[in-house]
Amino acid sequence: MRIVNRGAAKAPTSTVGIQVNGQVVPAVPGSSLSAALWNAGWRAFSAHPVTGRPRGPLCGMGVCQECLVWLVDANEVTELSESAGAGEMLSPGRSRIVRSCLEPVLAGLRVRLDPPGAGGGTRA
Amino acid sequence: MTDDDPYDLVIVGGGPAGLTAALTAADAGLRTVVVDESPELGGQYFRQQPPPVRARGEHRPRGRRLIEQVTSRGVDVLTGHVVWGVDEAGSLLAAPLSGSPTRRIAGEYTLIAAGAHELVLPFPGWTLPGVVTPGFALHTAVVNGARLGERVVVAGTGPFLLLVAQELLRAGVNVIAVADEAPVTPTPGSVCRAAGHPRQLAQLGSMLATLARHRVPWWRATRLLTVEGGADGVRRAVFSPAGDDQPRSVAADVVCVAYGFKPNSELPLLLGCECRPDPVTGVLAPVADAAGRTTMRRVYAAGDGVSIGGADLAMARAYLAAADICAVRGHPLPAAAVRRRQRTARRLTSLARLNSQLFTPPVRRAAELADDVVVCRCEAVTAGSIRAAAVTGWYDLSGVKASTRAGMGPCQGRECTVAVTAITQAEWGDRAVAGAERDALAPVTWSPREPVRPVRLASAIASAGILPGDRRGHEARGARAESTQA
Repeated sequence: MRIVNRGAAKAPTSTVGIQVNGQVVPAVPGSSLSAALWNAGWRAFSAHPVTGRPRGPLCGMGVCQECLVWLVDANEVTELSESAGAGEMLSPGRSRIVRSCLEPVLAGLRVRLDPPGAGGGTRA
Repeated sequence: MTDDDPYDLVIVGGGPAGLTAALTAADAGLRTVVVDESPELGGQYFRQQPPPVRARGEHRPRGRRLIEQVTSRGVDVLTGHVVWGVDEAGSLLAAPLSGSPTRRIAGEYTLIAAGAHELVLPFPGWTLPGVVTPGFALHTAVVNGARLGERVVVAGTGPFLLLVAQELLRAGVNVIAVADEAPVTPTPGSVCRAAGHPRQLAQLGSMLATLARHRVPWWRATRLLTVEGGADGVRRAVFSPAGDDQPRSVAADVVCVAYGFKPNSELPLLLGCECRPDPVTGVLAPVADAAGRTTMRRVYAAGDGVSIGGADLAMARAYLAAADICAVRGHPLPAAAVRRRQRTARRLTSLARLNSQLFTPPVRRAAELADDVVVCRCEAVTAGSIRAAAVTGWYDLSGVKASTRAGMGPCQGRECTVAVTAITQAEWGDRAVAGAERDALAPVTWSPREPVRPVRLASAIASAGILPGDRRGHEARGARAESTQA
């Protein structure tokens, strides 16, 4: 019998919680956000702006721009958790689009896969 | 906007080539900076993640050592910075990913070591979530230790596919098969040429042994035809095996596909360096001599961003480029060390040429795509629309782009240029334009547009001095203009 993804299974690394569309998902700090989303089962990170079809990451090196997700800036999260405590509502103006393959996971990161309910963020 | 003292050498790209050049130049006393858009140095080959993530791979400790050497030699490191443009003086414009204002990086010499990305060619189903490049697969399973999929197939062409399968197997991924569409029939000539590269043959043996141990077949002359699936992603990959009329369908949830590599040539184009299509693969790359000199003065290029040959060749060529710059600046490097890199470069260039002949990417095949297949992923432009634009009067690539929006999306044509060019040129061919005239008509790529990579608007306009916060600079320029008129 072949052991599937032994590497992932044996990793004792502790995880932190990130929020994806309001849902708390465990992720390894320092790993890339795209890897964390993929590991949690997401295959599409957005709906295609033209066709509306589910759209998944392709290149893993910042070229294809298909792993774009909405992110609330890490500094702003820290700022907020210090001033108002984690779990604050954040205004849309504080979100920014990032390539999830180049974005390291930090505790408390909030991610929005857009547009929710229109095919964005399809989980296998 | 910062206008620091100019550097002696500005290096774009912190991969094997950029790091090698930085170390060489810094050791010779040159004031050097390395700019890279990733959060960590290393490029794709030596890719590192911040702790506690520890990427797998025997080659990675070598990368870590090189990074440590570079940072300990006082090289300035600007990671997380996207080089998106060039100003009138030839200084590079680099925007921090955080969105802070663009920085202007001036240097006497520029070395572009921007590397390459995987060449993916369109096929029916290639936009389904779960169709990924080896880069994404390795990034997910090997660098980050995440779960990639239950059943992974590796397809396309090139010996790189075997390396990808080996790395994935070592990370515990269930690889079903490796399908290479090249027939790989050894001729006496290719056997003789391969025999000159014992180290690479040993590596090939090791990769095949890993596949055999895991009972993973390496199908040759087997072409990936389509990928089937739905909203939840990939379900099957369909292949056409050699000498077999029946397509072979394989259940899979991840299809990892690449047909070789494509040099990142936007920056050389933007700097005015001449770029030409590779005679074998047809893929565009900057022209550079053995010392890495481009057609522009004081602009050098080295590594996979010039010609695809892997990390060892990139490092040898980057050393030679840095050595040339050091020599011009009056710090010649030891002749023996230079000769050693020249020998390495010659040997590995011949191997790279053999590889591209045995595993030629089928770049022209895009011309055979059915009309409904999406070619430009970002803008969802189909092969049919590109054909229509090509035959209804838009006789150049820029016209096709303007008419269809192919290549205008966020990836700026990086994933579709090769296929759009192939489809457009096939239509020209049908018009029976005389050879020389057609070649004159056919541009090899779109002209680069700033920003050559997407940047945040705030970051870009700050560089033009038109943000309220930067008014003083704006007024100063206005005053200068007035005084010139007076």
